[in-house]
Amino acid sequence: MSDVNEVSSITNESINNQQQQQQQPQPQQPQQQQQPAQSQSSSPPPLPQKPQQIIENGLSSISINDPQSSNPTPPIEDNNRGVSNDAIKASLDGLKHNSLKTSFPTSSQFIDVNAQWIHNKLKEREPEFTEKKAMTIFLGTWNVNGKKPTEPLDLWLKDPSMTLQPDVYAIGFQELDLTAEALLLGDTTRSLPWEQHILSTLGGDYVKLLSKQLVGILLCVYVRKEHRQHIAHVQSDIAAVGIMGMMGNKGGVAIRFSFYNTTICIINSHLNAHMENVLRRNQDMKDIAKNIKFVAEEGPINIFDHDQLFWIGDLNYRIPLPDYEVKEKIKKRDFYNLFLVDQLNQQMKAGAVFEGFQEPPISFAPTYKYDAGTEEYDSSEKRRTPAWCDRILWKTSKKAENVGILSYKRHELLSSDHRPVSASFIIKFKMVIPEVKNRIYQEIVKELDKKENDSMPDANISTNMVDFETIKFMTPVTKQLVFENIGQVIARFQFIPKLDESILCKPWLKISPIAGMMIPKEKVTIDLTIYVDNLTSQAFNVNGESMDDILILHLENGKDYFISISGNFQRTCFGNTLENLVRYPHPIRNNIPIPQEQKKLSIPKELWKIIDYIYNNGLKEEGLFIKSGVTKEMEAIRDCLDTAEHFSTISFSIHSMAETLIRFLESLVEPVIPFNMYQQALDASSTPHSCKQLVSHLPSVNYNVFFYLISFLIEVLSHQQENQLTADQLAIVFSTILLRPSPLSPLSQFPPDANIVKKKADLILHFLISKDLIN
Amino acid sequence: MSFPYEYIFKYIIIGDMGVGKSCLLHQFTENKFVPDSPHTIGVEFGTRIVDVNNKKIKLQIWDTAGQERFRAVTRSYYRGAAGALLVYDITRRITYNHLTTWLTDARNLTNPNTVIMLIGNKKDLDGQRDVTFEEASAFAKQNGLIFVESSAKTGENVEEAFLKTAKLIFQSVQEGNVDLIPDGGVTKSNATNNTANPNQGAAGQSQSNCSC
Repeated sequence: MSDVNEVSSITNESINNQQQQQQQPQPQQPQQQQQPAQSQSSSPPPLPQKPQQIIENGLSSISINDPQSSNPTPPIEDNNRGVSNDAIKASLDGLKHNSLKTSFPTSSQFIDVNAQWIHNKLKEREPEFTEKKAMTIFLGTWNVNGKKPTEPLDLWLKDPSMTLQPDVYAIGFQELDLTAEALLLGDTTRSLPWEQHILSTLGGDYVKLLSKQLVGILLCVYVRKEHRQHIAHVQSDIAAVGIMGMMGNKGGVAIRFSFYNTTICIINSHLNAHMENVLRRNQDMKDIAKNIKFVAEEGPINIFDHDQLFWIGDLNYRIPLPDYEVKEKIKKRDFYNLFLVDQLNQQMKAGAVFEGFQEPPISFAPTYKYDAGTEEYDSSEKRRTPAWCDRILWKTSKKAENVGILSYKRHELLSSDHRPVSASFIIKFKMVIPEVKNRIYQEIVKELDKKENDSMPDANISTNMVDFETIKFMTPVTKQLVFENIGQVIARFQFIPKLDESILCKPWLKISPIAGMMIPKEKVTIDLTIYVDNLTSQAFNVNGESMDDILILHLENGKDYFISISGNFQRTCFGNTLENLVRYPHPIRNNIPIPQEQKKLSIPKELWKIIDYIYNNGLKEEGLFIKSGVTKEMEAIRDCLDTAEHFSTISFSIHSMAETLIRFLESLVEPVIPFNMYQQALDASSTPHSCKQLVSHLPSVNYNVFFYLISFLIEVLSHQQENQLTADQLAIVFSTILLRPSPLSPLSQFPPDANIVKKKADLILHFLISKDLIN
Repeated sequence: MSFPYEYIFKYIIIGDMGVGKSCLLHQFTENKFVPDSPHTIGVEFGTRIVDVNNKKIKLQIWDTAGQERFRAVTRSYYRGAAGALLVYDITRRITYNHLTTWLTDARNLTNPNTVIMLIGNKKDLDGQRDVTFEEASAFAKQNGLIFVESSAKTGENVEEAFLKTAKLIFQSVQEGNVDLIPDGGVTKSNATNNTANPNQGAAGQSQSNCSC
């Protein structure tokens, strides 16, 4: 194909119209030039310099598709065609590896896959929303032998015997321009007067759709004005034949368009001349058919991809009989016997050319070759034998209904050595009923919606409410949830935090696992464990919070499940504060504090009970505070303390009670020596005096507790003989629980070094040795 | 025709428990009515492509749990909604009385341009009506809401409610009031996020937090 020979003209009106039909492929040359680029879309584009560039590209593509923008949007269509499976796969790989190494198709291309699906579905259901109508098309062909328009065209184009006014005119010329300029440079202005002449002949009811020229071959298509808005996908192409497809005046031009929903393609060609060149002509036809290409919505197409294909022109096939014999038969109007030997007829019968094409029956005399301006066949020396050079053929696609023949005739215009020929056909075409199409479109989209909704993951959760009932301090309880994938796709889940929260759940709850994946029908068991320890008990013991939480279990691309967690925490003196405990004259589990203004207890009654018990039963016990207690027994003791049940109701060893004392002090939300005095206390440990000073600054409850404990420990040491305890041992054991850094402080993150341990112990030791410090 | 849709609008459906929020969603997305369907405990999700002014728009609808105890949690899903369907049950006045609290939440937690549509559901149970059309109309007018009575059971006015809301959002987009960002509840289909992605709203927030 040569650009040099290509001349294309389009009326303003058709340009405007194309802009309105933004979503449709454009018949413009740039589209064709883009073709090679599209076909390469599966190979990666050049590497971007920075990842940002991809993002920028992504953004710029948004503006291209802005519906308010006046720009037509061919890139959308390009994407549509450009997605190959490889490209999608590559992009998925790219996403998987989170790699921006190569730029992958934007997500809009994934959408186009959906669009393609909808398009195909719509095509399948086309008969439902289309109505059969009939239109007439007039096809004319004339080899004008380089002549300019001189005589009126009415005899040809406005044949009075025509009963129906054609809806479409397709008029082809050959040898429009035989000048050297036209042949060599493709420079031709000859078409203009012809086009004007045609338009004035057709009158104001018609507008030009498109014309296309290849040297002397011109094809013009006109349509009735009222149909113009229903014509789309107007495109043209050319194909020259001969050496390298250049330097010849032979070849073909084609125009395609869709008339309502029916696609029509017309080819006007001038094949090689001379009686003996039959095979050459056959090859010309095939080359033209092969080389003419269009780009439609669904991709590249050729001339055979149309409902109706017409082929007109000076096909140059001859009648291989002696000149006199032909003329004799013409005189007798014995066209039948002439047609039998007509080269085109013979070749078509043999399947050598125009396969599948048909021609209306010929009932007119050969149209070539006349002495120009006369009704005489060639009287020159060459005496060319008359022939039906000028022909009109058609081919209807298997999907479409065949055309009806209205006429096939020659017309007596004399200025050329050929006579013009015309044929009229009735074409049944499909007219879209917009309301029905819209309804069907909605149905198809809805089907897609449904599929999409169905393909969302779905899962079933065994319960949305998990009640842990009674939860005791330091006693973990685990409940299980069963999460089952009841959808058709893989379900990925994860627990997510609530709005403005950064944690998934309350600190006393543990979820395991917090995320996972299930293949269809698979079940996953999720463990929910409540464990209230020293750190988390404060919320319930001191702040009086109720034990509940809501978890959000999120299914990726699916719904969210809420899971209510509830429990009943048994309030306890453990994990409490001294300040709070002295407000409870009644068992703490009864939950009746005394009002703020009333007199508080001087020390927590639970502390008194423990120490009183040891004082009465264990001072002489060997290894007191050194040997460990029994967990079960300690739990029972804790229950007694919280419920004011007497210790006599349970049995336990003295070591369990001794350890309970240590655990109780250890569980205090804030130790006896408050966090804010921790550093001071370490500093004060050097001298007895500074220790006494420090302790005098303790809050009153803490002060009471401290001295109560020290007095008790001094009493314990007075039985050293029996219990074998030393002041150092007790100082070490009790200093670590009376004096500890805040759990929020970085100091609590590491075990204290020997120096700090010693300082702590010294603080207590001073009091245990210098008994006069307590007074 | 190239894209199946050009915009994505996020909707939320809110209102008391048992007013028929999920039924409205199912009627709209699947033309299906499931009587005695279980209460939604969580957030469900449905999509449908609709036609507004010849533009294809994908509605991404979030149906939330109505129980009072989930109120604090469902609030996280309001963010980024372009449309809010506020539903009450015309046969239960209590659900109507709670509208003010729902509305306050909706106003506080969504964009000022969010279109809020009031829906009096269960129109088919007219015999048991507890709230008159006039009264609810007046409430809607007073609060600048569009109002319709519908029946998720018969399908009456369901389509209309969703479409009317979409029309108003689209109008707002065209007037330039709604930013084309996920937080405005409107996304262009060819922008970064095309697929029905529930991660966009409340859950989207979680993604930045999950590393903690």
